[in-house]
Amino acid sequence: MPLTRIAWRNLFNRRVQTLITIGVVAVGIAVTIAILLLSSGIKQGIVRASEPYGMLVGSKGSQAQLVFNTIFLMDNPLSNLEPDYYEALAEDERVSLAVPFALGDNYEGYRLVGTEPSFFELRARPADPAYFRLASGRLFEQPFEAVIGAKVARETGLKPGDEFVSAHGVTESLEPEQHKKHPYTVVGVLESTRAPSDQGIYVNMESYWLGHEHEEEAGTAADAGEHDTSEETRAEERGVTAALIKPKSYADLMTMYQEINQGKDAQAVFPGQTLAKIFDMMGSGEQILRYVAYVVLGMAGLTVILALYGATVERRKTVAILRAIGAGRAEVLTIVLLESAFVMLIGCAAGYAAGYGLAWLLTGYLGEHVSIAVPIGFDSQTLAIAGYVGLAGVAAGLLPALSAYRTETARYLNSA
Amino acid sequence: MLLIEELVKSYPMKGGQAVKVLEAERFEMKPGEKVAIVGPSGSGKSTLLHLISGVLRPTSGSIQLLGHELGALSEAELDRFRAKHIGYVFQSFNLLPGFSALENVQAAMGFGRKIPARERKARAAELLGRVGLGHRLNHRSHQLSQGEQQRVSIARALANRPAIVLADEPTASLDGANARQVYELLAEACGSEGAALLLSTHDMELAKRLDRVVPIRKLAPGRREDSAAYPHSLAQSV
Repeated sequence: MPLTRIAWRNLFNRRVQTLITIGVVAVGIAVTIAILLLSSGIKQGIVRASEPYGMLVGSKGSQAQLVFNTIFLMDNPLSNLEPDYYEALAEDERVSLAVPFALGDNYEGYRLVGTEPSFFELRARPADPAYFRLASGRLFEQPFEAVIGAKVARETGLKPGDEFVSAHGVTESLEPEQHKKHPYTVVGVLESTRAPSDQGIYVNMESYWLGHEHEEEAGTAADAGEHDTSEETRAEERGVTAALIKPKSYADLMTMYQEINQGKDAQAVFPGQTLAKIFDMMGSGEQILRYVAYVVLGMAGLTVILALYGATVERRKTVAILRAIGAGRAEVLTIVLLESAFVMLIGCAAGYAAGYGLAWLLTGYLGEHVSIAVPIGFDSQTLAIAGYVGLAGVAAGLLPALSAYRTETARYLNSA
Repeated sequence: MLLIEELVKSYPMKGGQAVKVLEAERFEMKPGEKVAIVGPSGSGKSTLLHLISGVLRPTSGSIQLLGHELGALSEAELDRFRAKHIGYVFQSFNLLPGFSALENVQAAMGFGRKIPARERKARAAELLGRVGLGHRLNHRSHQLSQGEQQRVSIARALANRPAIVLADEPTASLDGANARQVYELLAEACGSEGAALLLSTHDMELAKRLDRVVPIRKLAPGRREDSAAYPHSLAQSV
């Protein structure tokens, strides 16, 4: 009978113990691999989502808040830039493209982004196709027309031709302050970018401003003329929350970056730099998670040793029988090593598959909740981890194997 | 076929003393002979069989089996020799736990040589059929009665067509009827396979059915009264 069959049968005889050991190994590897895949995948997903955005300009405040609010449609917007400031910036001869953003309203929790048609021309790299592409309909051409992200269309059921009423604020409220006088008409749906932009509702800047001005007028009329709809108020309302600026040259980019940040009206940020800082902060948390995963792996290793060594006591009788019917010490050693190899092989394979499965499930969750597409692809590091753990487990099997090797045959042949 | 001369097995004790558990001046067996070694429990019968099978090394003396001096063989050579020429039947059956009857017999055919799986299986099935277990081939050891387990053990001992079968109190765990059946089956199977049988027992009635009965105390008659040579109570009973 082949030694592999004998080893397999021995494992089957101790199936509960074997399954527990395989389970512990699999969990250890699955957790480690899932953490590795997610940490690198989330970074890639975030970087990918920020690809079409060059230099962002917003009012003074938190850089991270500016990036998160504008690109990831999260967090609260900073205060608006002065309209004059934005106009001067957009007309600066060094600027090739200026895209304004106005944020502050929502529809069923999905944020309205006031912008201009040039937004839809953004590209990750000059040679790339447009980052945002229409899946159906057309782009907005006049006030109160909206182009919605793929997730908005999927979740709300809105389609070209439908109307909706937006509400004030960036989050959904139980008692929303709705802009009922100005319903929007959906004119287009974007293809999914698997990025937070899937959660945006893109409208003309003009419609965004008009909606707010009219609400303001209605409010002031109700207040018996306490306030006038002065030009000053209108100008304040027509501010932009942030702007994407693309200068003509790299030198212009750096000069403008310094000028803006040295001034007191606004700040300029490179999303990539801000994200790098955030990754640095995440890095320590990620490192802790990795340590936790390594501890789980270590415990799995100890469990394997414990299980295999515990089995040596009950195995002595079997070893003695095998020796008596002709097995040599080397064959007995091989059988025990094969047992640990089988356990580790199955544990590693199951853990590897479960790790990818877990990562896939969590990326689905992330995609659903923050619309960040986390790419999960083959990573040689994960294979290396499974391989090293497998080898370490087989090496751990040496201890009980040597114990079996040294078993005194005659001593255990007559024992019950 | 088997020649034992001046064989001594002793175990070292604390304080430099040694406990002598077996001494045999001379013992000889011919091919195909069936011999019963008799003696009370603890008289060294199992030790003698372990020494002949090579799972124990003697302290001194010589064991020649099939023309090979066992003491001159390396451990690996001894393992191969045992696999090829010696069959073993134990008092407590010693079947591999969780293995079926068929697998237990086949397991003995896997060491030291390559036998095609089909041939191995056919041989195991044939032997199990011969011991009356043709209908229990795939039953696990714990699903078999004690008598059936010992029959599997006999089939396993004969699997490699050994020159000698060592049977260590093979009927001690069985009731009277089962013991007689197993005893006769063992003797008959060894006869049909042409294997010699060296069987240890304390049951004189059964022993008398074999070709020769050797009381273990007679293996070292000259030293039996030498109390200095037998510091251990077990040895004194030899």
